[in-house]
Amino acid sequence: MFSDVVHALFTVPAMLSLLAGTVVGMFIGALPGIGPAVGIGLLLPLTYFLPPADALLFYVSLYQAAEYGGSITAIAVSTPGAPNSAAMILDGYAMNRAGKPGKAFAYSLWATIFASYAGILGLFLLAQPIAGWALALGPAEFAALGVFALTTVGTLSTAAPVPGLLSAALGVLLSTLGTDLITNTHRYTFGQSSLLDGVPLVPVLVGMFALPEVVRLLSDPSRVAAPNAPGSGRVWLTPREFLAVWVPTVMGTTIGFFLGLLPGISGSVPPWISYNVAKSTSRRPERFGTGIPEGIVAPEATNAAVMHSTLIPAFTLGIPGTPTSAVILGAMLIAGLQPGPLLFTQHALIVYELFAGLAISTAALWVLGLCSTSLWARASALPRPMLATCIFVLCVTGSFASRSNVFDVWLALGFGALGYAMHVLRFSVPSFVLGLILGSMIETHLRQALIISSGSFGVFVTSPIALAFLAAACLSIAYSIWQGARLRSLAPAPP
Amino acid sequence: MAAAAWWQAQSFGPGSGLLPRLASGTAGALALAGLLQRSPGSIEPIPLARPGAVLLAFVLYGLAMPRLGFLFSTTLLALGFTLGFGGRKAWRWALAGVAFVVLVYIAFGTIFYVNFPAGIAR
Repeated sequence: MFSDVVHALFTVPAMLSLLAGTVVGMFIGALPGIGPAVGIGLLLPLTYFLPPADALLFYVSLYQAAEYGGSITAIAVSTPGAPNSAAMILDGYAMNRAGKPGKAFAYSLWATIFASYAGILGLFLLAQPIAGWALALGPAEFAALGVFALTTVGTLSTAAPVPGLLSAALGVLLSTLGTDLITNTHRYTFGQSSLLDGVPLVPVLVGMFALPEVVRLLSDPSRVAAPNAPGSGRVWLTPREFLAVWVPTVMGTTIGFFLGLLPGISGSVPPWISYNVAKSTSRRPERFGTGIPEGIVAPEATNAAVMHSTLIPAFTLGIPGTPTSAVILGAMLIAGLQPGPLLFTQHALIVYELFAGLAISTAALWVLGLCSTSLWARASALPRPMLATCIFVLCVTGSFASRSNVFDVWLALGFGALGYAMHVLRFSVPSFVLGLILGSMIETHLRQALIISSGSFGVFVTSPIALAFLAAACLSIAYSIWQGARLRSLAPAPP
Repeated sequence: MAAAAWWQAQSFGPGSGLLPRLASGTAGALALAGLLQRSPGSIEPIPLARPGAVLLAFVLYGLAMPRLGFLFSTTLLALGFTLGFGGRKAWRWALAGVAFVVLVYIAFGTIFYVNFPAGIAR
């Protein structure tokens, strides 16, 4: 089998597919509002012209590179290329503004490369056994996992858990907006047809994270980026820096790999969970959000690992964990390959060629990242009005491009104002966004669990896994209250 | 807001209204807790003139975009940001800003077939 895979992979068409996928993916990922799912969807007709293996190599390498590409604009101009790169803004953009753009990109690239190779290894070794385990989790366990993830946001907001949890609750409330697909009830739509499908994520994300930065850049003359240090555009890490982030990188990779196996956990949720775990286990949690390496590598490694592990349920069970893996499954069906357990027996060569191709694509991504991201680092040296203009143009373009709807631009502008107000009033924007992302997942699984149990909430107590998640959620709230009280007691008394 | 959302959720029925009621109830309780925790003088005065001007520009842009079109309205806003806040070399950055708008417009329009509002260009 090994020699067959090598023979199939090291051909000119396969190599060109991998390289083209990597280059196009990085470009698409960096464009706000496009993202890998839309990018692959746009290029799906290639399936009709290329041999199945080459077309799929192109798509999976595009997917991998786009996941990294989304972080480039998040770090460079505070505009996430895709929703799952939003967590990168907190410390990546902060490190960039602190005059160390090259380091910010280097930490992001290093975490991506490490997590990608670990994820590929996981694909080879664990694909079939783990997919069976993931199937054992039911709606009650998923709902409890969502509640646990939501409660951990209490520690995302600096010293006070109440604003963080309140922001999260408002985010969940916003997630309920739109048509309830089970009963066809219109909730909080105010007669607006554009809101029937709920609140689109792209305008909310660019509005909440990027547009407040436009306001701050233009309204605060003192908000000048620190001058880039000599050689700061160089995307490289010293061995010491490399070793210092070893633990959060491995932790982020592990979290991402296992969360990516769970169908229904959106690709944008795991990086936030990883960020929060890295923060709560750090010896300097108060410095998260100020541009520290752990805040970059943990969510980035998770982002990359999710991409690989989400292919496991997609290939072995035919269950896509993310929209992009759903599009790839569509491409497989167009190419005449039926995803599922039989894929590994009937088309084993193609499957393992894809896995091995990802290893080569990762190497290409590394080289491309080293060469191209230093160009992005120069974006931080732009004057404030020019940088604000670039961010604004990318924001409104990305918001409009995601659904070709002017209403989405209005949403982004409205959420921009809300994000700025939340920033000024010291609410937690990440908690709000996480509530929005997790809300629909929690609701779907909560209601499924209640339907199965004939309306009894006891299902969350009788399942040991669900109970463990809920207990962890309670502990998380208690810990954040205790931590808040401790920090308040340590703060100097006002004169 | 939480109270209004909770009141509205009563009309959604038991299944559809479950999470809206839970979320709005939790938000209301947390808002009350936050109000009780707030100490006098904990809110600092916020300068509003410049942020207000930028937010007003957002509103004007949102109103103008469907009528003037994406390209024209975004170019105007880019000129406003760069000339209004650009300092001594404002014209140089204004030109760069306009070039960036045109580049993004062409890239999204030709590569991704995004059909931007044409507005007066129609």
